[in-house]
Amino acid sequence: MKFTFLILGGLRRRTTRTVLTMLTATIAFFLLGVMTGVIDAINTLTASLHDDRLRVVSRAGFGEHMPVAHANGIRNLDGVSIAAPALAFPGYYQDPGNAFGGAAVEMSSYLSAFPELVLSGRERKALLETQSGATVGAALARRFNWQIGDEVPLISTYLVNKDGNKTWPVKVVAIHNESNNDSKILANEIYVNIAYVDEYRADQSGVAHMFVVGLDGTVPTGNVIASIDALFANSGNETSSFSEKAFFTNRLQQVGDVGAVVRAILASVFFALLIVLGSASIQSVNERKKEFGTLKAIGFSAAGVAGLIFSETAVLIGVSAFAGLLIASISFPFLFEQIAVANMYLSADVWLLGMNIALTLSALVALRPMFLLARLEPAQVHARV
Amino acid sequence: MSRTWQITLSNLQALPGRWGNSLATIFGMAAVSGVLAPALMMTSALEATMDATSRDGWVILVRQGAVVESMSSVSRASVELVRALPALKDADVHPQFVTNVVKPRRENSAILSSVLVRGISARDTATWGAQRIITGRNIIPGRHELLAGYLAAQAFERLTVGSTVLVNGVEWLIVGSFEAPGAASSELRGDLATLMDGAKATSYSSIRMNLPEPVQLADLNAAIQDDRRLKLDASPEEEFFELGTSAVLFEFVAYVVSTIMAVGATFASINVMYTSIDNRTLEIATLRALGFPAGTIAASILTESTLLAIVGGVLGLLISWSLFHGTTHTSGSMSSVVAPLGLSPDIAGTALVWSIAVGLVAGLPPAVRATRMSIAEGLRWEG
Repeated sequence: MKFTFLILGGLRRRTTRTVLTMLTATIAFFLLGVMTGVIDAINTLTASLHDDRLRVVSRAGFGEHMPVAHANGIRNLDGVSIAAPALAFPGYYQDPGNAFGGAAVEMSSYLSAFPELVLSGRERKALLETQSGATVGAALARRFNWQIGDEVPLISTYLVNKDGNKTWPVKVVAIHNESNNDSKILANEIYVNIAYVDEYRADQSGVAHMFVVGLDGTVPTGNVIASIDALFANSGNETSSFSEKAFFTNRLQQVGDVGAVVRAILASVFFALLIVLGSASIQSVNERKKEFGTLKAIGFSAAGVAGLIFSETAVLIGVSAFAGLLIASISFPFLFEQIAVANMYLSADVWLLGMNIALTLSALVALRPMFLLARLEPAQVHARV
Repeated sequence: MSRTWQITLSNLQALPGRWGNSLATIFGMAAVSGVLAPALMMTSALEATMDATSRDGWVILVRQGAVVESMSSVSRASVELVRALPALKDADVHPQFVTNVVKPRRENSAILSSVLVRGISARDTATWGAQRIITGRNIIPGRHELLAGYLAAQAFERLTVGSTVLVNGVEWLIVGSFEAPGAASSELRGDLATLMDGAKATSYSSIRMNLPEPVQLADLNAAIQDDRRLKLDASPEEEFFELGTSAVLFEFVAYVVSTIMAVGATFASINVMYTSIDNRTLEIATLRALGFPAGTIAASILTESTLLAIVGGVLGLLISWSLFHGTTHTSGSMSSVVAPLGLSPDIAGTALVWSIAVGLVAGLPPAVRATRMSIAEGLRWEG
């Protein structure tokens, strides 16, 4: 009780300094929350990827076309249960700001390849029966305010139709992944029938950017990968096959080692914060030498005074860390929605990391003042008066 | 004015005695400029590369909707149709072919990137980006030989002179390295006909042309629209290559993060300056009592705060320079662009402007407090 009183008293002594220091720390912890949150989200996404599903792309690079007929060859290989062709179908609705990701796919095989794409039986049936039908992720449907039965004109970023423009009218016949437990990535995508796109596109029908391959488990994954790539070697349309996990980790690395950049930025932020907190703390203790001397004189042990200093620092940093992480977790899902990757929430791990850092910082910051005060003799500070 | 200087000077001379306090401003601002400067180095390197890649007055024709050349195909018949367009009777039409090879990066061989292989005709080498052979020799059309851009050879494994590269299943020998403006130095270059032959390709990827004087892009697009057989998009080179970079988004993120950091640095610096005037309460009150105007005192506080922030900004720049100046940055997943990084005066200037802004904003509240201080109370201050 007396400690609480003393700690609060210490912090209130120079309100301006305490508030400014806390604001600086809050900003640092906000950055920590958002930036490690992004890395954490990427890691969560990669962890949810399957090792037993393959992605086959053109050897010439992702974005190059392969004939849809490759799927037949892949299907006949030992160990393969499904081969689903997919053509990238990115675009936007009404305004380029309303961008979405998605694919034109062979619906029946694609739905079997992705058990985590959750639909009702009625929706599945409607999707297979409606050529211009589309299934829209629940998060995307909420964002654009679409209901089942709506006819919506999608603007493709690159697919030109026979009329010479990029507008593709589709009918929303299904909304997938409506439950909170369903994959958030898929809940932000649109899937349309590749047959519909092929029939109305201006040129180059019968091509795919990717085959999603499901395995039956009878042949080791590495062997299936080798036999797919061997099948199309020297064909003019060679393939590169990857396990889903390897494929996405590789693509993320190509964007740049985001993790290393984030770590470097945060390291410089927290080094600067350590200096800021350290100098504020030394300053504050120097001004209060007399008071600490008095405390010692009235019987506070050295450990008691050290504990007081540490607690004061820990309260200041802890409250700031909490505030910074709180702001980060409130704004994080919103920020992530803006870049239209997925609906993500700041994980408990980020909170844990933030609180660990707060504790370590408190110890480092309090160390020097505690050392100064341990040597302090009450007589020394009062001698001058 | 001279009095302001005297006070500022005497103030700064006393500064070494209280470095400990000033470190918060210096390191805070060093962190800001140490993040801002490398980010700007990266985006300006990419932008400069893309700028140098495109030439004034040149247009590129690709298949409708293609955003990169490797996603485009232009049939031989289309090239003949374009050549025959009445509007283009004086134009020099240059078809090109591109394909990709996948190469591990030197800095981390686990990262595989696509490197563009561009086929251009022998007569184009003169007009096409002023190629300069650095090592080795030029290719001989008909042989399976390639030139490697010097930046590609720097950034990726096994692209040095004498290495062989597998392009669409056929082996090619690298006989020289070259330098050319912009992204060209991140590519491999071969002879158009030989390369297409080796890749068993029947269509080109794009057409480049310098529009003859009176012809406008709109005229060209109208002529293409009129011919139902032509499914091509024509755009100025600078527009087309701008599309392919993510520099804009990256720059935006860099500014947002730097701004948040700068706000933090400002709070920390306000603290520093409050402490600084607290320590000098007696000194400031004495000066005021002697008749120095409040504005002079305020100016000296703003100067101190700004100088500290500039020291921090320069420290951040020095760190950025020593870590990144002269290195390269590789980006892009469809085809890689290797951009040389340099700390330009522009970027250094931007970081310094940010430092000055932080210093001035942070100095303001303490400067106001110092001018409002009661002289009588200040003189009784015991520290």
